[in-house]
Amino acid sequence: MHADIKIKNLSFAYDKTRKVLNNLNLEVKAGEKIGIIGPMGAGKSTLLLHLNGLLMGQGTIEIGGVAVTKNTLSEIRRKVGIVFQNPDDQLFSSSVEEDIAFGPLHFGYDAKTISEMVTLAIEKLNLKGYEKRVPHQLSLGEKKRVALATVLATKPHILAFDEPFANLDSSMVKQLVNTLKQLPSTVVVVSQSLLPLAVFCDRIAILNQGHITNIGTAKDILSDDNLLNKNGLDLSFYKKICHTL
Amino acid sequence: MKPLVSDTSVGINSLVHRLDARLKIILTFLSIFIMVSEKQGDVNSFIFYGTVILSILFISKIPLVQFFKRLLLVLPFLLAAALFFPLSVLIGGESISEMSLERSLYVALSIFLKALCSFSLLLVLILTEKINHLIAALQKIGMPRFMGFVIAIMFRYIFLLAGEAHKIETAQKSRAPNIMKKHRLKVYSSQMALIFLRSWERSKKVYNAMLSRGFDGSFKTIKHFRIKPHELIFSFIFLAIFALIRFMEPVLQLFN
Repeated sequence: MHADIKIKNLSFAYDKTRKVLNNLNLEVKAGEKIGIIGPMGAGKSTLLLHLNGLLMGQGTIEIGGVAVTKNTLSEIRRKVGIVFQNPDDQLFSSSVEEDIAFGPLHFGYDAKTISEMVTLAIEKLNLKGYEKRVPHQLSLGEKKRVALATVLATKPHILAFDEPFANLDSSMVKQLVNTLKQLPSTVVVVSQSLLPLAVFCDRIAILNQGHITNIGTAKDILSDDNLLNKNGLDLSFYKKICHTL
Repeated sequence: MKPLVSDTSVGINSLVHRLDARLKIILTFLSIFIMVSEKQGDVNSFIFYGTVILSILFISKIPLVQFFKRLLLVLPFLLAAALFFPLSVLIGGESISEMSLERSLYVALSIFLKALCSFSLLLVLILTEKINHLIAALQKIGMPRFMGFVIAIMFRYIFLLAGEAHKIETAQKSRAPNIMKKHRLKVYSSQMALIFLRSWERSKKVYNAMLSRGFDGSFKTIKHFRIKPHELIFSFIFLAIFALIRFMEPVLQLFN
């Protein structure tokens, strides 16, 4: 399989004092599901914003063979859909239906295709009956589903998630993991919640101090307590609880 | 959190709600233009204008509480405009010192009624149409894309500000329930600074989310604008009534 995402020597700094991303290299194959973990402030969310050109650092990023540059932004944003951590940041229209249609409308699809895309996303995320509801008056779980629908509607080649499991109860995590498992697209998930990643990720990469320090199968990475500890992560606590139970 | 600004058009289906947004905007502004062109000091016509506006309010099925709550918010500004305007400006060449008290009161009242009726019509407009449809309709009738973008961002910003204000207030109350009684001004000033900082951060995130879904500055909507024949008839009747009220008196005077 060819690489869907190819990142070479990516560096980025919000200010001159500290580089958030420092010579980062990563390749993700088409259809692969990859989890990116790392301590707080490691640059995970910053990396995600580079995938569809919301941020542009030094180095090169290729999405499906197309380099991310100012001239290719429209094409890149069709290919990469980002689901942000806080659904309130993602929902801005006056109805769920309008919010889901926002992407297809702005990517220039015709009315019939837009209607089909919206219907499909609504069905996929179990949002029938929510079409006319006001997004910011929904519960957090509902908002998260709508936020995912807004991105799924545009049928992106690559789906990137920023902390998708944050503030979700266990049944909602289970639902989301099942949805992610079934997605045919390439999936990149940035998360502090390590356990759900073990269920659906083909590979997990550790991002620390601005670059990928380790990458491997979910089992290899998450079973290595020393490696996790060295990178400011800890799963042994949960492992002990599971063992006790 | 209790919504600060609710999209009241959701769930109500009336003739006014169904009316094409472009037509509604044009009607509103033409009616306002007709009303404000009334002579200063003439107040009789406003009995008729008021009756028409109340009828529209009734047809549109807008909850009266919602309407009057919003009206109440601007009432002090309307009153201020009515009271201070005649005191500071020359009207028709005669200064306030030369005007009789009775006439100056009539001028003040006519300014107040013009502002009240105009604002009522604007309220009917925004309470019967979704904001993104209004922006799209405004763009369709020639408003520059940039202005539409600014309005949309401003509207979204209201929710962000309200959300952040609510969070900060809750956090403050939970840690210092009596602080408002003792240091109200200090609390408000620090709250304002925090609200703006946090809202700024959040607005950047919202804008990023919009960009990542193809936003290019223009506001598009799934609503298809189409003016139906009965909507044109309704608009014509509405405007004809306003014109009749406006020009009834001069025409009668002409015949007399």
